[in-house]
Amino acid sequence: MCTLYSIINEDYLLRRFPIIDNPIFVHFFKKIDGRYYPTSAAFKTKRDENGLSINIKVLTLDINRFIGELTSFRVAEFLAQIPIENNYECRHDPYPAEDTQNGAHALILGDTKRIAKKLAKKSAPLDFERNAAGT
Amino acid sequence: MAYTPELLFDNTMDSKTWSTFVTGSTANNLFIQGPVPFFDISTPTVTDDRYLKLLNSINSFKDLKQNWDSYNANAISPTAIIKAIEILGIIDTHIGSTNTAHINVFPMRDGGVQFEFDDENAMAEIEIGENGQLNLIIYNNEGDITVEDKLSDPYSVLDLFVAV
Repeated sequence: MCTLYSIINEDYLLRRFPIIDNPIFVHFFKKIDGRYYPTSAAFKTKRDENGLSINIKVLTLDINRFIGELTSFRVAEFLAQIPIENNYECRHDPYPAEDTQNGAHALILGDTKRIAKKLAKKSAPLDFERNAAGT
Repeated sequence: MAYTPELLFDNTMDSKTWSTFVTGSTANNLFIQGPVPFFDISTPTVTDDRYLKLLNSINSFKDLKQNWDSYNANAISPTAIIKAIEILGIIDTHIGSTNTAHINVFPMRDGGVQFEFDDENAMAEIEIGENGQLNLIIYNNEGDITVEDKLSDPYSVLDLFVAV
């Protein structure tokens, strides 16, 4: 049985973003005054979701595995402090049914629309080198 | 909470353009009048390269399949895409190159389309739901929602722009 990790303010949380140039243009980032920001749309839960899926960075040992073969994706990171201080529970949710290999998976519980813009403003694209599995 | 149409984004809309708006013209030199031939972008007359780029993006949303974000996002509804093109046309026609705000458009995870408007002093979004319903959200600089309201008329998006 897996021991659940307790997420604290200082933890970084990760979320994938599609960046597709060809054949379609789907960017989940916008560039304003030279800086890239993810869209808040990426941080809004759907009506049928009970939380926003994220990864706990400290438990994500291989970013390339998190990305997998999603070559048109990037990763943004933000501090857990943002949802926690806005009264959202961040819960470690390892190996969910839709991502059975992901022991670092977690959820920001509830409808995240209220903090979506805050998360977008405070998120930064994560630089990492793709290994063979991610290229 | 009723939305009072405070004007958010500065622009230098000229009197001719403003006159066209206030006299109630619905002429749309951009995209759609009547049925859309599934978002063909080859025919519209686009007056500003920025809007052409946005139009290309919106058109591309129709190709997104279920799970396009790897988190089980829905495919984007044609109704939302048509409404987004309509709103872009309204902005292009009535605001055009005088706009100084950054305008971006993104697919939404529940099958809608989202416009984002940013300038130094204001942030706003228009959410277009999968059924075409419009929702306006205005934020303060911290990203807190200060106004959220449903819009019944897509021309209400013009209230976001200041005529100076």
